[in-house]
Amino acid sequence: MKQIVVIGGGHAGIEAAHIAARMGMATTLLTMNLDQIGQMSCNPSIGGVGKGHMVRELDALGGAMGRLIDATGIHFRILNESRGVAVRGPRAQADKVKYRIAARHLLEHAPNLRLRQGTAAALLWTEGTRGLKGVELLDGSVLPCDAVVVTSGTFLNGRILIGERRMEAGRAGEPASTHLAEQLKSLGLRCRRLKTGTSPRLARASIDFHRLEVQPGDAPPRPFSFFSPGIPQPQVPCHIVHTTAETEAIVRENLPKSSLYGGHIEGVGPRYCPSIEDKFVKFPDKGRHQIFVEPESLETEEIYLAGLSTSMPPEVQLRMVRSLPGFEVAEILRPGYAIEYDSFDPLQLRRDLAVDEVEGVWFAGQINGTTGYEEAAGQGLLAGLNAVRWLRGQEPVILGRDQAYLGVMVDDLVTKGTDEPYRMLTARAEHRLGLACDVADARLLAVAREIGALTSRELALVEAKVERRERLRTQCDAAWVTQTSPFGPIATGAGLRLDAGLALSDLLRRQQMGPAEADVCLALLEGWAEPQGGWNPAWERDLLLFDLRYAPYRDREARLLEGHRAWDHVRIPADFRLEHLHGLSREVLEKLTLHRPETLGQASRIPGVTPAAVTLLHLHIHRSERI
Amino acid sequence: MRVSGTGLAARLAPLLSLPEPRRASLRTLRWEGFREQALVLFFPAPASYTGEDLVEFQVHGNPLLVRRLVERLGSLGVRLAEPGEFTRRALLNGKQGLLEAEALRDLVGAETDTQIRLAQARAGGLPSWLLESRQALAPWVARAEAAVDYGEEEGILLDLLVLNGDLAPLRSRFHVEQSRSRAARHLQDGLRLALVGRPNAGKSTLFNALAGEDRAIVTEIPGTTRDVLEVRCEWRGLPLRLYDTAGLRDTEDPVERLGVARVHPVLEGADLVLHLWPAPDPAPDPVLQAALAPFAGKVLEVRTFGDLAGAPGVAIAAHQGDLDALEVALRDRILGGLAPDACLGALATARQVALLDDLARQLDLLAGLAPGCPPELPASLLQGAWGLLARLTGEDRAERTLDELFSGFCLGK
Repeated sequence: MKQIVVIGGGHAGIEAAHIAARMGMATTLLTMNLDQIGQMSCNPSIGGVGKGHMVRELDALGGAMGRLIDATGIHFRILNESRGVAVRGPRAQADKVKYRIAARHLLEHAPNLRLRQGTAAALLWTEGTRGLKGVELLDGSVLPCDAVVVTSGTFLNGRILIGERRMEAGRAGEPASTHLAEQLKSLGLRCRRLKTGTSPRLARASIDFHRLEVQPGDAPPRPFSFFSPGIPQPQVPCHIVHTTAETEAIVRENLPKSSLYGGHIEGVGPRYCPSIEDKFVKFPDKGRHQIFVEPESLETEEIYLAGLSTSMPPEVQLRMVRSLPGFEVAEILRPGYAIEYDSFDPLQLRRDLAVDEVEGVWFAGQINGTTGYEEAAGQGLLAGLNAVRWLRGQEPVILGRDQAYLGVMVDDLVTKGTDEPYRMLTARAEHRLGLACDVADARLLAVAREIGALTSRELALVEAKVERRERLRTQCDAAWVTQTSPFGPIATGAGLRLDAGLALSDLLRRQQMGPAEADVCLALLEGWAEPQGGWNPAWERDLLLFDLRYAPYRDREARLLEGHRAWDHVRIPADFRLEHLHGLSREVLEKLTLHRPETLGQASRIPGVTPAAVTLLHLHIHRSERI
Repeated sequence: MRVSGTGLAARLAPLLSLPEPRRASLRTLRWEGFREQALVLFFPAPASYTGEDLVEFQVHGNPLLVRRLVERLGSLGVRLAEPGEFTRRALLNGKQGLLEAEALRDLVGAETDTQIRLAQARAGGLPSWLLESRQALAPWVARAEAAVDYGEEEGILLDLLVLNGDLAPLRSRFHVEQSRSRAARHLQDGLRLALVGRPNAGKSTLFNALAGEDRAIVTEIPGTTRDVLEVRCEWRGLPLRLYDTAGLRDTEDPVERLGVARVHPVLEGADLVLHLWPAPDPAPDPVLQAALAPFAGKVLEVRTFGDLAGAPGVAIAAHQGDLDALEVALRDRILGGLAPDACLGALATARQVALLDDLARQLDLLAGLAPGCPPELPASLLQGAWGLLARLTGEDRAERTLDELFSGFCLGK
């Protein structure tokens, strides 16, 4: 009987273990601390722009994160609502404590899944790096397995830095993992040091909340998961404060004491998650920076300051915090810090996230150089399911850039690599109009069926929704609107003249038909408002209007990208000898050899490889195929 | 003869020893009983046309000798180049930009002076307006992306009115370039004119006036028997492809005369069908008019042999050399009113014109967006335009976009 071991109980590990178990594979999740499964290292929130998209996508495929945040979220908000249906993304703050418990509960009750506490020391193969057979732990025991997913997060040779002090740790209060890191390096895998950081946590009672700006969550809160019945937790608002000139002055005068700026840190930091030192140094004209004041849990009095990531010595952090209005007597419970860790060059991965040079090993999460829980979770899901499929002799599931943000992320990592911690942004997706997260379940339905991780009830739910949408859309296309029809008065009310008749679809395409007018029209259609699991009339109306009004732009977007997509389907044979290609410059040859693209599409996305070079590659592949 | 490749000194050693770079030197090439004196030029990589080693042989002009030399080179592992292969290598080795390579290809294929001048005008690399387009678009692409991803938090707005106002000159420029490119494409291909008319309508006279005695290239059009001949020539700076429908010339039988069906493909492919009718007649032949009805949109009725004073429509007197009206008509109807010189430097290949059309359409769509629409729409259109621009210039997809994007904005937490 085949089995999988997942090393690491963070967000990537949870998804990998969860999906493998759901697919019926015997799975063991190994973690250095069972109590820390699902721990959120910094911001106690899930989702956001681009990230929220990935959470809904992995939910559509049977992942855990969406369900977990729905069960434990205490503040939900759709971000970027005004920016458009395709780019708006859900975000929620979690009760961190409950999230951990919910994650552990989910795993403990999953069939086919076992949990184990311990530290992985080495991977074992039967010969060289072929024939993976198990994971050796520090305590001497061996977990037998046929495939392993390494989701070690920031724990590989992790080192925390605060001011001038440094300590080996994977996270504050938790030891680092060194043996495994060293073994992986000794196999010749390329690695580099990355860094990330976190903000101080404060005692709630020491903050004057009356002086802070309040930001309420959405009411009612909208779940992430397509399968959540609702949001059980009581909801709380979050608060906002801004840095002051004094804050800036304190940071500037103490820059040499910061681990980052004092020259104590090696790694490269995340550009889209800058420390407060970064912010003041790089954007001196900005004046005030926004800080979100978030409760970590309803069970504790701990407050997280989002946007104040720092590696200043604790006494400087205290002064910084106390310079914020309302925080004059704030107390720090845990100081912020920077952490450096080993991560491995994702160019060494295949598109299914398997490590190319060794057999039976998958890498997912921060180990690949990403930052963020959602990025990690997405990779964990894909690595886990592909490890299972590999063991079963099935083709891997590779999501296209036009199918999901998950596809964009993996392709970016595996094809282009990353110089700094990779964070998802909608700007990275060129098929953006077609990747709205609210329809991720419909869009990925076929893939979900293929993977087989959703229950038949869940699949039926999505199928029913899709079918109902199509039915109603057909009705819309067929319903004829004239002055005397029931729709007539609604149109006039919206300021439209109906000289000739037109289809309801066309009427709804007009900008003057707002959500209210659309609701009234749709209510006249048979079967629109019938209650059904997963069917929310207001949301469906939004999606229908989006579909009607955006179709031409979406089609155009897709058409402009067609040429590229065709290239994605041209495989570069694994044994293709690049060196025998005439006419490629040495530079391009080097890049192709380093990045090892599997398709022409991938090759075209490698920086520095011109369309001309790809065309040449294509010609050669054609030619060698004919022989 | 020109040879390009890596390590040519070693490869060609059995045949000759290469001279000093860039010094034309006499060498005796010996092989299998042959002896040939050649002037040899050597350009070592990377400072050559292709970026690889390049060797040129100037040999005596005997075709058989040349063939034998080619065979000898073949035995040394040198094969005949495919059409355009030298330029392709230059392209891949970064010695040529994509637009320049296309211009060069068109230069090699040029058949008339105007076509040569047009191709040469494009050989200088990226036209400045393309570079300016990139500069004009970049900040808006950046702003749109920032507005979409970070807008709400950081208060970054995308004002559609300002955007469209700012890009209006660019949009106009694209439209102008579209006209120029379409005209340039016609000039590149040659303006296809089908000459149709009853016998003695003046076709031969006009034909001779346009084609002249020299510089005319005559070919039979396959599939139309001997009914149609294509003559390529240049007249008043306009490259022309004249199609003389000879089948309509020779017979007396009215049905035969109107053998339009036989010449149908030519009429389909023509840019303009010149229906010639001679001055003494009060009007063009109605039977012929009816036969040409399917092509009504591109039929130009030309009165020939006319006394030009007060003549309606387009009238010429080819026998007297009065062809101005025709020249004006051709420019107006096919070139959108532009003179050939006005098209110098315009993008002209099918690929370029298609991309330019898409690019202009992107900006048109942007201009057509309703003011209240969500930023993701303009962002998508801008991103599309950016990608098209990159494809037009042949550069890879704008990888640096994210860097440019966010260098101006303080983002993230």
